[in-house]
Amino acid sequence: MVKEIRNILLKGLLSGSSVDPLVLDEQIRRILFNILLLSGGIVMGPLGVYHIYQGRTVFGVVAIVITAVFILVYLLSFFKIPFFILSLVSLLSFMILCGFSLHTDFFIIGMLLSLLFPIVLLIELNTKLGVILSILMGCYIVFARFPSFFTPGLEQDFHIAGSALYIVILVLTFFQVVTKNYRDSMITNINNRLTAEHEQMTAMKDNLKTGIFLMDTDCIIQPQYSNALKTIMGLDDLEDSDFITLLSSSVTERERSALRSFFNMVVRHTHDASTLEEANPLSQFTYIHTKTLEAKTLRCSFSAIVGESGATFILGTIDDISKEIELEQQLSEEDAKRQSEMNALFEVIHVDPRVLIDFIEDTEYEFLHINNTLKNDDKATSEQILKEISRSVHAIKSNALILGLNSYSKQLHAYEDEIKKIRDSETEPELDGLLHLTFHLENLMQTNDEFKSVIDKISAFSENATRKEETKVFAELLERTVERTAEAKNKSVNFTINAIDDKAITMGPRRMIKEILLQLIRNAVTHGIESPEERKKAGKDETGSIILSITLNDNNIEVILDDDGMGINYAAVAEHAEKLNLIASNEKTNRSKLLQLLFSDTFSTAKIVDMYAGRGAGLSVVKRIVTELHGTLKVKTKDRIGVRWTIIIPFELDTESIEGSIGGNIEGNIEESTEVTIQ
Amino acid sequence: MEKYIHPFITVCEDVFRDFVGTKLTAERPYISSRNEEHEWEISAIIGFTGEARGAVVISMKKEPALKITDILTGHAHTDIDNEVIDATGEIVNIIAGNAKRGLEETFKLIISLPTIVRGKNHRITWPGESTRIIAIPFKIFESDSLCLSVAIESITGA
Amino acid sequence: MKNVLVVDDSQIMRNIVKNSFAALDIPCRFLEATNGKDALNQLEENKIDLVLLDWNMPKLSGIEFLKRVRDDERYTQLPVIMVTSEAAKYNVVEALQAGATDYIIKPVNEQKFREKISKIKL
Repeated sequence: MVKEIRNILLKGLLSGSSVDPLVLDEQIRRILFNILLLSGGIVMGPLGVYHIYQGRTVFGVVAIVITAVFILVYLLSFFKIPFFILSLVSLLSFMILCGFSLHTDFFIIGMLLSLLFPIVLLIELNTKLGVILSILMGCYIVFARFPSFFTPGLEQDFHIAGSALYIVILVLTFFQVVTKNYRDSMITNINNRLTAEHEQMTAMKDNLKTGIFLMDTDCIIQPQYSNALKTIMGLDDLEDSDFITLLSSSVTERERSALRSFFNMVVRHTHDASTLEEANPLSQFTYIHTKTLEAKTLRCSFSAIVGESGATFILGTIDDISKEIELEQQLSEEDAKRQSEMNALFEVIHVDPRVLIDFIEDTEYEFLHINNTLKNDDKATSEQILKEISRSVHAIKSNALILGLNSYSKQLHAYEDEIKKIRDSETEPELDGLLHLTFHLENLMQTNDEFKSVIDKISAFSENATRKEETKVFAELLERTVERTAEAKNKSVNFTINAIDDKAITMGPRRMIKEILLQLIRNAVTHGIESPEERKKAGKDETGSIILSITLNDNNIEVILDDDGMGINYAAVAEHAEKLNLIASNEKTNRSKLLQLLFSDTFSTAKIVDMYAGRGAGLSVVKRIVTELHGTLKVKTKDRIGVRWTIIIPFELDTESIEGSIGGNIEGNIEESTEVTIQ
Repeated sequence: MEKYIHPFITVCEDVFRDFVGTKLTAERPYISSRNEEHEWEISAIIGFTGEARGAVVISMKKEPALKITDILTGHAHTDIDNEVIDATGEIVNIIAGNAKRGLEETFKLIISLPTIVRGKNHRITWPGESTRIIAIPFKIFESDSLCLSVAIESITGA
Repeated sequence: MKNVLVVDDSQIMRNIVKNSFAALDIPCRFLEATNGKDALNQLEENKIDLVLLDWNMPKLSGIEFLKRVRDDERYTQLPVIMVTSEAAKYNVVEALQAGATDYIIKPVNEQKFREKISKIKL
């Protein structure tokens, strides 16, 4: 209630305007003016009436007129008429009243009224005008009724005292106004200076990229902080927030209490600046916004400062270094990558080129195999496919390890792990997983390509040499295989190469022929050639022999592999086929049926311990390769005498690029003969 | 590289389901080479460039293309004629358009307008030097096949 | 001649710390302790000018030792530098709070060592 009355009052005194601190001076003047008008009017009105009533009509009328003028001016003041005009009008009328009364019987009243003058004039008008008018009025007062100075009586007393008082009031008021003006201008100067400084500070702190802020000893953020702080912390209203609470998602509770201890140390200067900086747990940390959970890397430093009032504050500076850290990480990742590439290159260089070529080819073949397995439309389950792929990868990896290609074998191992992950998961593999495997496979192929390009560059230097070398390497590989297998199976075997055509090997489908031969040779050593004791008992040399010849006739590559072992063990085949439910008991002596079975997938890949261990019998693979090469396969077997494999492959240049699907129906010719044709 | 393909696959599945009314069932992806012989009779090539360069090719034989045209136009066709090409082009346009949104915003890629190639054993000119293509076979209309082939190489080394 | 007490349960570390310190050319005599308790005893028996303290030790850890030492009014001014491999950010605060004069992370960088020792004004 009181407040409302006050507001109405203020409005009235300000002629309708509201309080505005910028023009306070003017408004104060207006208030005083209005008070003057109102009080003057309130007093003079009734007085005028009284005078009229008392018969002093003229005076009364004048008083009433002036009252009316005052009231009018007051009302007009609400209409935004320039203050100067209003004040001049009212003051002039006031002067008239005073002057008038000085000449009448109301001299005393006039005198008294005129004492108001200096005050009013100087407050309401500007100093110069006010002084001039006051002095004029003063002269008028003194000299208007000059004679009364010398006429003893009340009037004389009043005149003298009044004049003296007038002069005193004028001088006092003048000085009051002058000093007030001076003080005002000083204050304005200081204000301006402060405003300018404040603007500069604001400009600086708003444009800084660093977050700068002050905290009190309780870690409460103070009102003045740079705009950057808002951006960095991701919060708008930071004033009065507890800094440590803002870190509640970034830092554990124990750490937060350690932070409070730290800030305490900063405030109390328990240690020097560099030690405290070392102790600063926030010198670099990950800030996580409490609401958005956005993460940034921030660098902070803190120091204690003492304000002018003696209060201690902690000055904190925060920089967002997320980008720099990211860049650093990128650089170090790239560095690491380059380093590992260098390492891989070194590893490759250390491998004998011929051996590397072999490796590359083997790897390519395995990749092809993997890809074909994937491409295959037949109904093999995902599990089988993944298993097959796993095996291929494992094989490549073992080779890589042996050659010392550690980086590559690591890649392969990672691929194996991925496959394992998919296999281990209970659910059927989804497109995503398979797609990933395919992409990864492509990466591995690319690495193999890189090896190839290294080799190409090396072999470009010695083209002829490599050709001869290829055949040599081929032969060596087969020899090594015989040796290793014989050793593993405790057999004694002699391997002879009667003929090996260079062109057939270097320009023909070397790898595929190698696959075939490796399989057949392993079989020969494992199942064909008997153990030394058995051979002795059978009247044969304890050392068995395997003879290979590869010739080129009429555009056909002829591969002949002989062994002097026991021939194909039909009985064992029959038994195992029966175990696998592949034949009925009455078919057990049907040799051609058994032969077909030998080459079938199921028989070949079935896990038959002791019979054809390892990757199945592998004969199905042989059959497939031959089919793909559009060749023919003949096997001649004689009990106790041995086996001869004859494979004829049409020789086409560039058959290396045959990449087709492996699988499908039996297409090749498989003949069987029990004739003795080998020496 | 894979990250670019996932949006394509999703968009293909959605578009075929919503516009053609058939489900695409993904089969095992494998690797193929750019010059490999194939039996597709019509292919749509969507190229892209930007932080990675390459192409996505949607290939199919005559039958599914004809079926699609049938569904979209209401007329049955017996061979790949202009209307079939148009219909196929339409579908691929929609796929490219939708994929564009996801890919251009998420990655810095720019997708080109699709081109249609047809004819038995047509050759597809793959951009870039990679010789290998990742092929993702799909079953469409339950018994027909469609293949999404991708060759991408990264420019930025990612 | 200053008495420097080296507290660490590893002989090797004690030697390393002694060597690093010896390189600073401050004439001193080294006393050693293998755990906090031992160290307290050494303090009682000798007038020690500086303690080089490890964090992880049996019987009485470095931090515990530090707190005991600061509680004792005879040793409130005794310079104690923690020389330890405990490098986690909040470790330093904890050590300083417990009363360490300074903190060095192993492996000891001689330059750093020099700086910190000179601050103490042995």
